[in-house]
Amino acid sequence: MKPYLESIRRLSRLGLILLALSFVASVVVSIQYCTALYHDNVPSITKMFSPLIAFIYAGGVVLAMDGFSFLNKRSDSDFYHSLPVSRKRLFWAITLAALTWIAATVLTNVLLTVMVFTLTKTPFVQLYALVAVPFFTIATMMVFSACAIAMSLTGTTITGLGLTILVFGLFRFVQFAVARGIVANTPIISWLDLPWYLTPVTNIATGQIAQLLRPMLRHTLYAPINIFYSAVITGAELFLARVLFEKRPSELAEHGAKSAALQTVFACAAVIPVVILFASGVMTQQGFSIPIVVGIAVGIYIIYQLVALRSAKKMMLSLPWLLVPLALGVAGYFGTTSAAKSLQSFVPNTQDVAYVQLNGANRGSEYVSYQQYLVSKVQFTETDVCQYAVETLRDNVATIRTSGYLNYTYDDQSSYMLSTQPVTFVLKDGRKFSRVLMFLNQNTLLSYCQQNSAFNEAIQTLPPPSSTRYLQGGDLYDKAYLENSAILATYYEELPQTDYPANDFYRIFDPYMNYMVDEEQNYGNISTAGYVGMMRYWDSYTIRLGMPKSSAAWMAYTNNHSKNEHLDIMQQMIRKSATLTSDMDYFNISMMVYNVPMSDGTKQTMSFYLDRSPNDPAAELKDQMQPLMNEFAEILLRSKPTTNPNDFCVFTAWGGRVHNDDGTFIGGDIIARQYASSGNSFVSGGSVYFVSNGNVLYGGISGGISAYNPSFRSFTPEDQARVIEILQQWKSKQDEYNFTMYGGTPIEGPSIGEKYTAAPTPTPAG
Amino acid sequence: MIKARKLTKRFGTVEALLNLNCNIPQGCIYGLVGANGAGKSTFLRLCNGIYKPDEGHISINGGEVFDNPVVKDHCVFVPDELYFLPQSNLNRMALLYESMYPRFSTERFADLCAAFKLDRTRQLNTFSKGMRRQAATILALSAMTDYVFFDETFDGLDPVMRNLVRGMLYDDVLERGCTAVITSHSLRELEDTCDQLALLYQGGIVFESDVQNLKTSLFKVQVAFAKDYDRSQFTNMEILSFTKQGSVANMIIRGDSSMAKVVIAAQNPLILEILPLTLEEVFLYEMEALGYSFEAPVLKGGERA
Repeated sequence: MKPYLESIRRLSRLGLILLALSFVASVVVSIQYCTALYHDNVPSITKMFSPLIAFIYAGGVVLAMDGFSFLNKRSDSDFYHSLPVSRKRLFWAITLAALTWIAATVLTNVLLTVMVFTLTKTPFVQLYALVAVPFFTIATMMVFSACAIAMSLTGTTITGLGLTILVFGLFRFVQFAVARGIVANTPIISWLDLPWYLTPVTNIATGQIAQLLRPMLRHTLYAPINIFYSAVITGAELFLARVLFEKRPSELAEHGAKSAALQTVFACAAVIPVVILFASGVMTQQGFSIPIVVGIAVGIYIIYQLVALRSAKKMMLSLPWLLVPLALGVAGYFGTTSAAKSLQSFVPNTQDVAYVQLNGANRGSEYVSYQQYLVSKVQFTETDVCQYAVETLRDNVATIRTSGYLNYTYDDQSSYMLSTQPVTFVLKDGRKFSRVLMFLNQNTLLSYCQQNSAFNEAIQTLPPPSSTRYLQGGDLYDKAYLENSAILATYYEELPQTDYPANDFYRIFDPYMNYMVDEEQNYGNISTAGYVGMMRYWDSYTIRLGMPKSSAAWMAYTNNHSKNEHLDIMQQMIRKSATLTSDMDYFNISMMVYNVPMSDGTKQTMSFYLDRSPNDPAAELKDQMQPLMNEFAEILLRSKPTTNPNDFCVFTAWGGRVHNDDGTFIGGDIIARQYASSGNSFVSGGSVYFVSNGNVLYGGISGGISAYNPSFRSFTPEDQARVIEILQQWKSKQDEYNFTMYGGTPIEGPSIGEKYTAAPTPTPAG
Repeated sequence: MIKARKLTKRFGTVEALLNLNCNIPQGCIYGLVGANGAGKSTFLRLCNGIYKPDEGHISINGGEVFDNPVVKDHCVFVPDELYFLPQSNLNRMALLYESMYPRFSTERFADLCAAFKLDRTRQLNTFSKGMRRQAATILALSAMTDYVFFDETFDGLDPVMRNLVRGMLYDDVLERGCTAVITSHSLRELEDTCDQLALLYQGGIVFESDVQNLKTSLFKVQVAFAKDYDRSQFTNMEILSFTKQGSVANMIIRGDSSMAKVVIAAQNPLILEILPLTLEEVFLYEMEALGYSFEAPVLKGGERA
């Protein structure tokens, strides 16, 4: 105990500095994050504890260098080895003291970060706090152990640092290079499909660097198995360091290595990172010159040996050993290439496949959808799925053999049904491998998948409501969250009563189906984000008429945000838009009209638009549409906001910059008022982008007004018939304009019907 | 007791110690003298388990020293190049020693600091070289170990401090039966302090003896006779050296000086004078007797002591 306490004291100077830095960094970084204006999801563990990533490397090296610093000076080494404590005990005393400081620093950082997040009411994954402590402690200890090994092998600071890099990273760099070589040589194997022994993130300390280079790896980096594996590796490395420390002669202090032979080994090791580029595929991809790479390798070797051996003659004598790493590099190239080919060529027989798993197309993204997460757990034992996966794999392999890449095109034949899906095959003999397959038909795959009840359940399952932390970009305590939570609650209530999958990705795509018809009519999308366990998700749900309660809730929310649409200004602008004189003046209007009665009896969502500007080549045609727009504006002024999704209703956005005859801007008073209310010194002559609830979005100097966020408005029964007539004519002119301007021919289909019938299709909004 | 048997330590091609044998009894102050590079520091580092012998053994109280904390509990080492924790003071160093040495005495530490008049709170890197040696000595003596090893420690102390340390060592030897091993390249530094002396030369102890015995066992006789004479005239005495210039001869004789005086006086010399030898002279003559020559270090045969 006493040597341990003494080591704690000895490391206290650096330990306290690191602790203080960690304290400041964690508070600053957390506050910076938590006070940022916008987040759309809970932060990743990497983002949340980013100061600890630097600590892994800085803390590990600094504490090891300080703890074992006596090994680099003869007098210090002699003193410590003369003390009545066994080398083993001395080693563990220093190591445990370093571990104490490391754990204290990590714990401080984690606690402070959690405290800042909690106090600022910023959502975060609580489990991260539990994972971060062992993760960052073990990762830092991995660096510490590498440095301890290095310091036990050498006797100077420079060689100690150099060897630390080699011990810490050489094996992993070689592994990374080989993995890269395989990924580069195999279009159907990604970083996430490599066998475990080639996965860069199993070692969590080097994995941090790997995930910066390949962000898709970050999801698996913090997996408990990696933490456990790294802990075992750390233990083994510390044991090795202890053995070397025990055997280390005190007289090694102030010497680079025990012998010239060992120096040569170090020199060869220093060359390996360069020659391993042969295996990584970088050379062929980036067009590196082989002589230059070999030249760099030779240069490193010569410089190292000249510095270490301090003799040109000895360096020359050791030169033949350089052939060893060079040969390793060449062997690495051929080994990697043949391994990649071998891996890629393997196609199992369907009957040998126990089950397959669909890991999700965007598994490497920052967030995945909750349904993808659930689907990735499903085991597809169905023969159709397994067979389709095996056939696709076989076809993909054959295509790569022929063309060198996945030579499929999105054409009419495939009906844009190509789908790239990472698939894990689990064979009956227990073997497991993953490939990124390009399926020729996504619908076929989905239809086969639907044979699996777990899949069907997964695609219709919404995340637990308590797991949602962000709604429409607002966090739990945000106004947007509170206002939208009613919509989400309704969506949760309604979805199980429908056949819709929660995520449209898992919906069988019908090329002949009109997604703007009847219950398919789309009123909006609601996005949620949160976490389950340590899995962060981001979901987007389509609000269709088929879910009328949700649609009604959506409309109510939208209308509630649309308190003043300034339709009077819109009408003034419309009237004046036919005679715009100033080159800078313009006006545009776009309308999304819902439940438009069609000749085939369906109700559809249709969009109408018109823009006016001086010197418009299509002015003649638009002049013909102008009366329609004028009349529509009048009707719109009489319309009322509605929250019934079955209503024949319109959602209008408009914008413009229009002068009155006296030279003032139409809406100039609004501009002035908005600027005055926003404290802006520009009173007139500027453009104001305002939402209809009065909030200024943007102000410039052009004098334009853009109105967003209108309400859903329905018409009086008397006006409905006239609106339908207006829309029929508008559509006709609009099509004429489009075909005149952009070419093409009219598509056959139903036309706008004669009369709107307020049939409760499919159900009235509740 | 410290026992070394065929102790060998090499540094690359250099043999720092070669087949060294020695016994250092408990309760003595053992001086090890030798020129630079003789192997004194290496020997002390082997005694303290800093180095592992390449061949042979070294044991203290019957136990091998290297990486053996049970044995090393009894040993403390004050090297020639001192180590102190960075930015530390004596109090901080005392904490370090206290955590490592089971019998470290804080009382003694306080007493010694007072005796040496060293400020315990002052940073050690502001101390002079001599004061740093005093500090290291205080810490070592406060460890209350059975064996204390000083590597040329006294060389840097002024006479007053040397006497102070010497007095403390004597106390430790007398009161606790402590053993001190002190090295120096200067025999004069050790002459007044040690009660056993050994000469280390080219990696081996070539001579070892009790100081008191050394001082009295050899003496110089200056004699002259009227008639011609030679060495054979003194057959019953162990003469290490005999030189004659004219009628006057100088002899280095081992044995009882009073007895030798009686025997020579019986032969009626014209001159007879018995002279004491300095310790340095005794060493040189003993070495010569063993076949070593400092001017031309040629081993003439025979095993090293």
